[in-house]
Amino acid sequence: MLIDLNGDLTPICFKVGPMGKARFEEFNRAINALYASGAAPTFATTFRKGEFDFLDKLKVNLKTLLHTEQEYQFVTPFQEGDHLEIETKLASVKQRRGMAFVSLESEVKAANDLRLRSISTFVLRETARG
Amino acid sequence: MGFELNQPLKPLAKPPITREQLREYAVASGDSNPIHLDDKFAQEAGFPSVIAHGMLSMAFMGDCVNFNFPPTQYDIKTLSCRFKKVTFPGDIITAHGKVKSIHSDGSLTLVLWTENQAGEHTLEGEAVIISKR
Repeated sequence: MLIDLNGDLTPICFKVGPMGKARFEEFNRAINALYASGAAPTFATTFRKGEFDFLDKLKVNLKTLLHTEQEYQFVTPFQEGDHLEIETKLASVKQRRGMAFVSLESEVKAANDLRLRSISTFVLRETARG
Repeated sequence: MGFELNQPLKPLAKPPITREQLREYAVASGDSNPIHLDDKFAQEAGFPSVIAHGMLSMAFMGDCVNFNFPPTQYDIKTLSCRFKKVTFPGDIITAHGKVKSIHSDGSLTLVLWTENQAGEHTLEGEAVIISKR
């Protein structure tokens, strides 16, 4: 079984914050960013806890998992001091020929003001690669 | 500043990816999937060694957009990519791009990609940017 769709499929919600310069800078150091301050374009990857927790709910074996696509839709920039609310939901699942295609969609809001939407797509394979 | 269709962006070359960087990225991003940190786990998944986070290369892609369109002057509206090829420690990733289309509201669609030292595309994607002015 690649994925268990019989369990709890309700969205995962969690909070992060307040956002501070130190969080942006830690991420920027890890990617050798040109700009040391401010949120890098992919800073929102630091809020993927909901994705990992959702994949866990789906009983996904990480050895079968490949992240194949990522999309960010930016609405308003992060601000220092933001208290963020993140909701991650299962957007779609397709299964065929020993593979499953899973998309998870997350919305990141600060005081109900949408900061961005993130869509992550994964492929799960029957057997490990190789 | 004016732009033309197919105008190439200035490429952004990053230092070779190191295991230390993968550990730092795992902490900073919260993605501590052992496939990026534990050789044995990666080998059981069919890879010769740990693999770099795909999102690390996407970060390089985003940095290339910032390099060409400074965040003080431009906003990124969308950024997307497909992960085409796995990256390993020691690989040297360079981010590239060009102007795909110019829109009436002044926004630009960019085609983006990252290459390894063999010239193979590891990511392919797009971004839409718009001037803050």
